[in-house]
Amino acid sequence: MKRTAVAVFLLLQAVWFPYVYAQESGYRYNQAIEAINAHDENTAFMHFRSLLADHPDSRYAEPALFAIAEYYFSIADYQDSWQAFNRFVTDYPDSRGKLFALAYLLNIAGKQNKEALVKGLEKEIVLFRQMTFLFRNSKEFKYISALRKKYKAVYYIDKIEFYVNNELYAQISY
Amino acid sequence: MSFMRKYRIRRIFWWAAKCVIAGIVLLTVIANLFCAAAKNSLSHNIDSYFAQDVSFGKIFYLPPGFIIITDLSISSERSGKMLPAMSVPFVRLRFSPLQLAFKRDFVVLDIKFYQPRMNYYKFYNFLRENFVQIVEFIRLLPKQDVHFSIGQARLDLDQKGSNPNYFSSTLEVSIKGDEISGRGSLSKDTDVLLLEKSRLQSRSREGVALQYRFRGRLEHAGVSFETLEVIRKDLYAKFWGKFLSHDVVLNGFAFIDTRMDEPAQRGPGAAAGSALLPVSEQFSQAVGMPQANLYLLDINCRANLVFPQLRINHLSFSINNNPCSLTGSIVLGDPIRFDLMFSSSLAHMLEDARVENFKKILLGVKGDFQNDLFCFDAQLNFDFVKKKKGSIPLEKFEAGFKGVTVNCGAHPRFAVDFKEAEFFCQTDSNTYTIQLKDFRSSLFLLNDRYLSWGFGSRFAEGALRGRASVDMGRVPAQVSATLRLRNCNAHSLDGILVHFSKVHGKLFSQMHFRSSPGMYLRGGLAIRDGYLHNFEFFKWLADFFGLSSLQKVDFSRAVSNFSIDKEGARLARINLDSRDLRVSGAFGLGMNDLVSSKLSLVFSKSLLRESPKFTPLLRLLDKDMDSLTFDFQLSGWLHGMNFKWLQSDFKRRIQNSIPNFIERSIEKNIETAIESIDKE
Repeated sequence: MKRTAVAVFLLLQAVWFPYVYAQESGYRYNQAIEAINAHDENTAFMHFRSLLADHPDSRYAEPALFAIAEYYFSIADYQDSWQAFNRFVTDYPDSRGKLFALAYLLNIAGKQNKEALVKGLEKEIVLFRQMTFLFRNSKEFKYISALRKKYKAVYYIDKIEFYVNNELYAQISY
Repeated sequence: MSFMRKYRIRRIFWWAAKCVIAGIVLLTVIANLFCAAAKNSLSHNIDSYFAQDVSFGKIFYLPPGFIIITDLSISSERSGKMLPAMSVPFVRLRFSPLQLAFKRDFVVLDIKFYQPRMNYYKFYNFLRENFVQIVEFIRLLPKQDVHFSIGQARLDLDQKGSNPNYFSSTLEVSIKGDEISGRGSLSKDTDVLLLEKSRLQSRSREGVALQYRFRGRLEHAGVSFETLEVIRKDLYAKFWGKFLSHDVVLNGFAFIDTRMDEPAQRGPGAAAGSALLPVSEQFSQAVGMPQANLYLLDINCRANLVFPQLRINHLSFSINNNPCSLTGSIVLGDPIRFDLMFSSSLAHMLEDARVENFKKILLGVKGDFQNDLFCFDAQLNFDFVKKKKGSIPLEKFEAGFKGVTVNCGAHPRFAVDFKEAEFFCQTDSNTYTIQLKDFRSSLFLLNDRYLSWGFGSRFAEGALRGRASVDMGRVPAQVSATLRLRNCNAHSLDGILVHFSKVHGKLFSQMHFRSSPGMYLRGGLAIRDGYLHNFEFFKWLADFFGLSSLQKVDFSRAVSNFSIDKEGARLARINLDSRDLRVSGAFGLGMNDLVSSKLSLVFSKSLLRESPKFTPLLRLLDKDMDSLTFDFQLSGWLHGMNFKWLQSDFKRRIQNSIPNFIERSIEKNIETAIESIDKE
């Protein structure tokens, strides 16, 4: 009987744990979002950091990592921002945010006068998506980050413009 | 009394003087008779040493201790009909009469050759054929102090006497005990005709003199040099080493100013040089060469000379801090044979010339030289480090030559020919191969700095003709050239551009090349009576729109201008006329394979009828229109280009006839189709 009780207990733990785990990461993510809504980006950043540290495989890890990178960029900590965006591009190659992470990396490389990196990143961004313009002159791609920033990439036949909250922050012509 | 005594003494002196004069005259006469008698035996003795005919006019004695030899000559043929290899109008030997009188020892103290004249080729043959004998002759000379000098020597440079250039030289050598020292000069002069007093007069124009001086020590098996300095206004070199038995050991350094007295170029070049090698610059200033821009340092040579073979076991040096080495052998026979391998990495030196990505140069030459004619095979390899901004986009360049002949007989004009050559070039994105056969060229040295070069060759089953001018006063040399191609098979040019493998027809082209500043190649090309077979773009159109005729596009004439420079390659004013298709526009391929292009395609109605996909579009066309024009723009990466259909009446008509959601749907379908083709 005792053995049966222990087995049932372990089984319940196994079933319950992922749920608890997901609940925990979701809870922290929600806390971060609440902090953002209260215009407290510093607290949001702390929540995102702990979420990423404790739950790196969570579905919230992707937006959290992008938000951390954005935060570093906003306080001009370009070295940490570079590392975070670089990790984002590597860990989430299929993310909708990847294009904008590459644009951030391009922006940072430009600020640091790393010409070879700029060229490499420009090429990567140009190769990121092949475009066809039959009837339209441009096409737009949008992304909203966890820090509630609105990103927009506008593709033309020979240039790409990147906007954050409708402000141009990177541009590539080719 | 005193008068008588004086008179007697004066008479005694007078007779004594007469006796002395008579004795000297008698001695002179006897000595000259002896010299005349010794002439034949001396001539015989010299003949036994040398293969050539050594002759002289007169030998006579001048008191107190001089022997004069006139008209000394060395002829390559015993008959003496040919011009001599060397002729000396006047040779003066000074000897010690006391040594001769009291010790019966004929000690020559001083030998001087006045105005010797040599023919370079004949004199070289004389040296080559008698090298061992000359060395033996010198070795057997008695070890005594002697002074040897040559004044105003002239070394003619060709056999026919038509070359106005010649070398002038002076030399003085002193041997005291075991110490040997000397100095001299060498200059390349020119005979020029000047109009003076209504008459053409031959005058000598002196070149820049090269001074040299040396000091050393005679050893049992050879000579060791403490210092050998070579100085010219644009050169200072210093060597030391030894030549013992067969071993040659030489060390040294040299400072050279290569800028040929051009004040405009001195500023930036000198600045770059001083920034590069401050220590060397200080050193060059110390030896009086503040303008030097080429530093040959750490010269270290180990060679072995067993005549006629000179084997260079090790020759290393640095050119502006770039290590170089040379190995191989030279056989100084007839013909002269050489097998040499030169290697270097010239990254620093060429930095000044904006070719900073040079990594390594390897040059192998094997051949011979005889009668002004070089014959050799050669292999030249350049390796480049990864491309930096502004540097030429090369990773590797290789050139192999077979059956090269260089005829120097008509200096300053050279005939440079080869049977076959292959050039291979690798950039960061492509490889290129060019083959030339039966290359013929004439190279003309305008002066020390500039040369012009006219050439022609078989190329791609057609012909290549061209003319180039080279400025050798810069590092690397500046080349500008004009090339023409005639009747070449277009598809044979696939080694230069892989897309030519799909192009057939006779190609004609004219292009201009300039190496610097800003290397470029630009020109125009035309292909006649040809066709495009499975050309990528038309193949895509054929597959996508079901237009099978586009698999092979016949045309009577396709023309385009082109340009290639460090920014990329461009085709402009493209024009291709075919029965059912017309193409015009421009296409540019930049760095990282980024495309920039605007093209216009005109399809005939009959071609469009081939495809059911165009049936609805054709309904929109006016009945009297017999063609449909698509203007479009391409950009982005070459292997995944962005596509934009540019505005036209036809496009506007389509847009007006379909609702927006259909437009989006078509666009989506096209994108999906393009993606599927790209994935394939």
